[in-house]
Amino acid sequence: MISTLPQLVDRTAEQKPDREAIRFLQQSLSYEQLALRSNSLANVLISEGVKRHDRIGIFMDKSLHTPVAMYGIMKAGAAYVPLDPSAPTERLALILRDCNIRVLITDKSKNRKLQGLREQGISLDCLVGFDNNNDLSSRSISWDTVFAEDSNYVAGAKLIEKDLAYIIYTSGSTGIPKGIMHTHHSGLSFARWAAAEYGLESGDRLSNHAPLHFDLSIFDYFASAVAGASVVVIPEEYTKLPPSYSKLIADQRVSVLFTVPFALIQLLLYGILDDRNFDALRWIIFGGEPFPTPHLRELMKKLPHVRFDNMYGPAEVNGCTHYTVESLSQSDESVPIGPVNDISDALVVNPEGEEVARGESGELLIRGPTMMQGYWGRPDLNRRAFYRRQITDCYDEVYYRTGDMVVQDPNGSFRFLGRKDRQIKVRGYRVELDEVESALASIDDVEESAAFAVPQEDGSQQIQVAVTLKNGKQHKDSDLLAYLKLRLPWYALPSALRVQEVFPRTTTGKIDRRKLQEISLAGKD
Amino acid sequence: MDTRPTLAQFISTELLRIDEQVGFDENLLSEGMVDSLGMLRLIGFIQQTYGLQVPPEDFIIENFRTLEVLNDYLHASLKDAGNE
Repeated sequence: MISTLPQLVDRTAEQKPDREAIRFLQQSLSYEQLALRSNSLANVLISEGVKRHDRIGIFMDKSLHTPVAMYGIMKAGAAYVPLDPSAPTERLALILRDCNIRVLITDKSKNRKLQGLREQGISLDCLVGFDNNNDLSSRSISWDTVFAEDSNYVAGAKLIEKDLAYIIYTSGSTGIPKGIMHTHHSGLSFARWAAAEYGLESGDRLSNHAPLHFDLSIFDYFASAVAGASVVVIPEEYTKLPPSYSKLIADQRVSVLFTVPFALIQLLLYGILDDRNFDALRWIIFGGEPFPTPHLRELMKKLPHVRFDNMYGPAEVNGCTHYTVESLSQSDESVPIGPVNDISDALVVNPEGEEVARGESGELLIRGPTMMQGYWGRPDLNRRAFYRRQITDCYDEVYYRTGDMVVQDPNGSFRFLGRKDRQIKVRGYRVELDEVESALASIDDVEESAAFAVPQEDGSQQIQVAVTLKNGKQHKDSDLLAYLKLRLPWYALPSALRVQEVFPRTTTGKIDRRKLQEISLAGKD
Repeated sequence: MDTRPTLAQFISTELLRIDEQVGFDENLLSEGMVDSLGMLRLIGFIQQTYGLQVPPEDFIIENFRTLEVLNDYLHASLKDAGNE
């Protein structure tokens, strides 16, 4: 019986040791190599004192070492915490402190950032993957040393399905990122469902476009492990130049491509798809944000043999609804997110928490085995995130409140209408506008600030901000932007910032963000 | 003609919005550097500044990874276009 995520790899390693588990350009690892290398890493971590439920950071560019790090950490009984390599050090330090990370798996290219962490007052017990004397950690271990370690078995703590497997951090409205905790159980449940639903087989080659800190990677790595299939890593560089990206997908014979609509639109517009041979490709799955239908229609026309699927689900519940787009008529303005999947249950409620009738809009609530354990160390957030529906005095059903407003079609399929709060999506990444405002508020000379989303023609949203400064203070826009860059991840940075004398106000005296948004829209043409 | 200083200036101020200049051998495509929309703006800038069209098949990593290789590529295409 498989009860943990790494056992998926070990099973294939036993049954079909030579099968390719991961490909990174010209390099690859077989399932056996991945199993052995992750065993070695687990043994090193255990001898470094890592214990069950410890949190270990993965802070490196995508490489062949990525799955070794993920599975090695979990085999040692710890939870892996993927860190955004491009995040400002201040934000990284917040996360390291939040879940008390003592060990980092990293690489040489992160030297400057690691130095920055030291300057933020971080100290660690051990760095793996970067053998360099620095004062950030008391010990450092190279991969060569790791791979010289025993690889035959792991002498670790006993793990059960309900143990912590990984924590993914996402934007928090107060400016402190929140850590979404998933167990082996929730990860396995989602991976097994996805592998069955999309009919994944060992011959499949799943792309991995999303960085590890983006939850789309959960599908790529774990659904492929269920099927004994291969993961084709798309290096960061390739994601930025669509012709190189499309060539890689074609040459590497990717059969299942899962990414955000933004990336697919880039491929459509600049990827010279007509010059590529995509005969191995059978699924394009997208998620993270709505796909503008004119572009989707065009992409479907270019790739008539590929099936297109919209997978929906916040990182807190993994994918929980999906909709296979069989055809798209000219009048379809949005793609449904589909009905709730077989292993989950959904509820649509009004602001009073009462279930609405089908066809009425409300907030989508989800319960099921793929749901998170909660946010790390945030009982306040957990109380709000979960809705307990009492069935009897001694039993209740626990739902996750998605914050997404939906309406259910007569056929059971949901349509996404928007957010209940001020969260927006930028290329699939969640951004809390409140977080952008709290970053602005932390600037000494800023009196008041407002962040707002400005819808773009292509269906995406642009973050813009306006500030007023304290009496007599002056700042260039670029200085304020430079400050924000130190605090916010790239996808949360405003594309425009203006300093105002005064803010427009609503009748109740609040900053009129709608008015600010209108001014931006009017100023565009 | 050396395109590197002009392009470095454009990338630093317009795309990355930073004070320090990007190095000529720095990887423009690594995490946290120029993103895909930024690369498109760079192509627009090249077109405007040097009157050079970058055909889609040339919009690849090998030509855009660093300012060094980009400079080499632009020189080769300027030569092809008979402008040098």
